[in-house]
Amino acid sequence: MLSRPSPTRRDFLTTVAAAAAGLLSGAGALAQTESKPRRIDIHHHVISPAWKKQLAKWNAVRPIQGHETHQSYDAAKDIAAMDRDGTEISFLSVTTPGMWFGDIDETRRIVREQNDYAAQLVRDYKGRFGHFATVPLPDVDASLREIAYAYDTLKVDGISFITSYSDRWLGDSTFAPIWDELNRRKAIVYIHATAPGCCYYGNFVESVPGPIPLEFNSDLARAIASIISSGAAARTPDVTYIWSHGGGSIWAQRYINANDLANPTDPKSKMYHLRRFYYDTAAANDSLHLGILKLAIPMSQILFGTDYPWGSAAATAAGLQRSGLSAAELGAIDRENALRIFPRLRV
Amino acid sequence: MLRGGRAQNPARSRTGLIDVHHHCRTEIQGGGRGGPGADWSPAKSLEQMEKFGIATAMISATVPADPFYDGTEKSRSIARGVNEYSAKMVRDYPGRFGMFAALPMPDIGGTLREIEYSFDTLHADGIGIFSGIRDKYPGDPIFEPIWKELHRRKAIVFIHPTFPFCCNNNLIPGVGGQMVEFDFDTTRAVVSLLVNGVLSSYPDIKFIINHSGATIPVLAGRIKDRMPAGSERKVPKGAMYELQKLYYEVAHATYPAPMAALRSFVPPSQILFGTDYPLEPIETTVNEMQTLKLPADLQRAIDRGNAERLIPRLRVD
Repeated sequence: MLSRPSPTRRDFLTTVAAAAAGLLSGAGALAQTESKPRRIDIHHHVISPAWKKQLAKWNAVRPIQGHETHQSYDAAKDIAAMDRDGTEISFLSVTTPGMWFGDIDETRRIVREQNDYAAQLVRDYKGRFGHFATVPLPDVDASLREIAYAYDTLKVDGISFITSYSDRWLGDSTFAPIWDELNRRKAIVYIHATAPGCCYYGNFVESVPGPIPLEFNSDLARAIASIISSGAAARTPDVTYIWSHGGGSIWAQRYINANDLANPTDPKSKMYHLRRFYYDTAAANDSLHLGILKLAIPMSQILFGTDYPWGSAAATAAGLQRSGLSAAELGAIDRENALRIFPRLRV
Repeated sequence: MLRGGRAQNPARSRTGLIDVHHHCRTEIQGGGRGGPGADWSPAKSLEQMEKFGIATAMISATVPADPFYDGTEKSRSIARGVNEYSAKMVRDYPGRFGMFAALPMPDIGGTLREIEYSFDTLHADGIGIFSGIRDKYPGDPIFEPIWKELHRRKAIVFIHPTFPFCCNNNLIPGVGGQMVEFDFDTTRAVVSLLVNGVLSSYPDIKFIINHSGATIPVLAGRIKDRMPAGSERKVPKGAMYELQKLYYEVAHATYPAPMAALRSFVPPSQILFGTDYPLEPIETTVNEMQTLKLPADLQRAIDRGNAERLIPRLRVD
């Protein structure tokens, strides 16, 4: 795929050549600082026309935070921004608030149209997009059908979820068949934050507007705890979990503590799973969040993510560069770590 | 037939009570059958109805509510199964039972289809919903299409309490949710319907509130004084008007204080008889009501007259 980049992008070709040369010489990180960095953006959203229409309908019922940005998504602009900011490939996923608003028939329809749309972008812009298809939860049977369609027909790279579906977190016992199937497929799973039903629309904390500042990262913590404590994580050793936004507030929860860090990691421990999961840098690209991540998990588990179209690669990279990371660490985050998850991306 | 072998149907009696809060419990619903009423059968209902002079019982589903509210096909088929079961009871014992059909909320499409099937095929007398639909209350804007359809059909909607989703059974350790949380959750459901404009925008729906209105009659004044800013648009006639036009059934809440509150809050026409059998023995409602020595015309209206007006097919001429 990557050997056939968009022919109109001469600068991109140059970048590929330069970086490939850098890799061969064992000076990848250095080469990247000198040319375009060939970033792999693991946290990148696509909003299909069908989903836009659905979101507009529900936004009229009750405002959805970030709605203008959902509506602004445009694939051509997306590619232009990736070219400008040095992103080689972006993995398209679902984002909050997902596609379930109570009408499960509608959910199944929009999920399918969204997945088909993203798959078309992967075909139209060869080598520029990867695809984490999404599923019509809470309908487990339909989700299993969608997983089969996504892998067997659309040939996707993985599956994406939001952290909770109204009031059910990902480790919910009713979702267990999905995890068994994803383990069977050795799936790569991308999980994006949302806010649960309790806290999406109200002023949960009066002076904090909307769910984004506090609830999203709290819900990541709930979903991670749900996946570990339900036993789903232990039952799915072959699933690669990628959590958005640096894993949210899980690191600050009493669910884990520092003793876990000091001791060798027992495979039955929470820390074992937390250290095998991956986390992206979107809105976690500063010295505080990265300092915590570096303390808690190996550097190999941190992936470059932007939250496009809400974030940009340029702004994400600028934050990372101010976070006291070495050139090798920056290179690992930008690209090298993701290459281990997606060997097919190695040139 | 139960009545001393006579062929006359007790449902044809002009004095028999109409119980609007009466449950069937079937394996179809799942979620365990422990607790009071675990050994329920239609025959047990008929035996109790005979004992207390109840001509007709309107059956609806009781807790657990979650099996109905999964949001997917699973709940559609559970709601359908329970409704088919109820409809068969209505057919098997002519005149003795009516039914308030269960709905698979929050699944909008499935709910609209079940409303259609329940009324047009099963000939349900109304709908039964729970106070909370998992983490949502019934006035939530996502339910708008359901209320629109029930308004068009001028439907009766019976609201049954459930455990508040937020706090399940742990709010006061050692205290089961049925003690006070049920009534608080009913109150939340009514307030949700009020402040979101469901009561005012869909006035042809006839809501029946359980347990003498839970805490609504006592709190109504405070609710009126604390309506959210801008609610004059959604609730132009005001909170008191909307709350006082609802129907209230008296199951297990015929103690002097709740009955005094209810009687001073709504006109006599709005009060209905209910028992919550088999979750609650019928005695706890009937014995207490007898000690109140209500005026004979009010007692007749509660026992039967008001329900006959609400459900005209039950009228005996």
